[in-house]
Amino acid sequence: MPQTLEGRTVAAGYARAPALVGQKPFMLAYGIDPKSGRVIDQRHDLYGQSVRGRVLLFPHGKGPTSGSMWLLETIRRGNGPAAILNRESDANVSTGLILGELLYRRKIPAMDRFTPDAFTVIRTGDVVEVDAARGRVRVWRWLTK
Amino acid sequence: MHLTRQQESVLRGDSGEAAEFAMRLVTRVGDVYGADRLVPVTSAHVFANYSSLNDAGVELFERFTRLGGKFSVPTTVNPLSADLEKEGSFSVPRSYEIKQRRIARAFNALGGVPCWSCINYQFCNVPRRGDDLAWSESGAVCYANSVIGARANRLSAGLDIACGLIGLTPHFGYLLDDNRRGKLLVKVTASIRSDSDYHTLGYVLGREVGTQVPVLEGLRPDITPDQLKILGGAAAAAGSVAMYHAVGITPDAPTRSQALGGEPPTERLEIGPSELRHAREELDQTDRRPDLVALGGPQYSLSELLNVARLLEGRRVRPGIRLWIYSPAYFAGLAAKTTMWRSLVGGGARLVTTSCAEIQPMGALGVHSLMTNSSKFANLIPARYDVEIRYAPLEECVRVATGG
Repeated sequence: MPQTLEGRTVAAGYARAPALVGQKPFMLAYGIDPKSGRVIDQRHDLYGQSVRGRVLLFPHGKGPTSGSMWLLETIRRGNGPAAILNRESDANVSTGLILGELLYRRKIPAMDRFTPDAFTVIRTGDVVEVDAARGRVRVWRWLTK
Repeated sequence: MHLTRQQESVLRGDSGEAAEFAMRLVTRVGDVYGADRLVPVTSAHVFANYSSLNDAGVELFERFTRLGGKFSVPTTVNPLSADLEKEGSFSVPRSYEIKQRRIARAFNALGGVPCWSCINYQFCNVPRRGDDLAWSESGAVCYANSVIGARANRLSAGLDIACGLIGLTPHFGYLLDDNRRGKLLVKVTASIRSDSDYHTLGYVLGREVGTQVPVLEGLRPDITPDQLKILGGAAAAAGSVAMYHAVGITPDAPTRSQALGGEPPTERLEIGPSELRHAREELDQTDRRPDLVALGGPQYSLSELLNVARLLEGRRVRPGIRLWIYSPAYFAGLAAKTTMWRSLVGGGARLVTTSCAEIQPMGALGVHSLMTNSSKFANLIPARYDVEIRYAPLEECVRVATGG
């Protein structure tokens, strides 16, 4: 049975994809390579991984306020994540995703403020369904046993 | 969010497609922040540098111009990623320069003021206390909130343009009294005198307090506007400090208790000589001879330019080293009318008036080792480019750049 989390809608939309969980605050500006979707901030725990097509989790953003345009450029090039989940989303995430929808018609959902805490429930590789319009996330984990 | 009838009509497209697009973005981001309404702003300040905006930024700007957009409030702009006033003399790739020119052209077509400056508040966009602003440059936001007592959030790139077009911004964050109250008390026990001390103090402050509003005690009452600029710019870059109070100095902090809003501090912190020393050691990574000595992060004001001119008097920049001084055209133009101009540039230093070291493509410019007096440059540049940093006070930077 999937586990269900409830949260706040930051950008509406629906996605179902494997999770990529970052534990550290994430710097979008100069921290992600839009050409590949890879994390290029060497100080981040997701360094070297691609966000493309994943449900991307990070607690909150950090760094320059131009981060919105790095997210938008990543989306423009088709390398954007399937969804973004945060403890607290910032203006870079909301602006980047809303512009992605307005300019490129790519509707990528985002949510934050989860109960229970998304970072204790979701692990990298879990299959996560984000239904932002309903404010609901469901999580499936493949059991090895 | 509550919208007035007039704002509803903008959202329906009655004021044109550009305003409609802008209004959709601003209301949707405002909703995320729980803003109850939109409020008029007295000015906007936006990003237009290609290195941060990318191709998506070119397309966004050009979308707004195609839709016939015009800024409805005075709108100023941060430096660009290439020095467009000196075409050809800077070896940025041609395709890069073309993209940057397209953004600049679109910004001008929207009716913006092409100041290319991160210190708009020192000359071309000076708010009053209590003004609501739509600004995105984090150092400028910090100065406006802290030193002037105006009200601004660190808006994201893209949202800044949209707010400038409609002349409105969501009412949240630092526009609200509650969020402007200092929470954390910082006692500065280190001796802070030179500009370079303020650079290092700002860096320590940003790293320690993150996004909180600190109340600083122990700063000298004769601190200059340029030093307040340096302190806030460094703190905004090292953490996400959008506002600070300095007791007896900044307008919302005549006393410690007023700065804290009459409540006890949630936390106390001390910044002493050892914190400053450690920060200096952390930022200063190399003794290598620099390819570039970069002064002016944040950009220099007129008095800072004249101060460097005094240090440069009778000196020549050594071969193989570039000495670039970042200052807006407005101040460079004034300096050119003074008797100090010859000292400033006669020895081979270059005034860069439309760009900034943080956002110039260092690799393409052949810079692998950079010396600076700016903690903001020292902190941000190595995270973006493959560049080693030598961090030192201004006098030392000038000495290394000119020899002797």
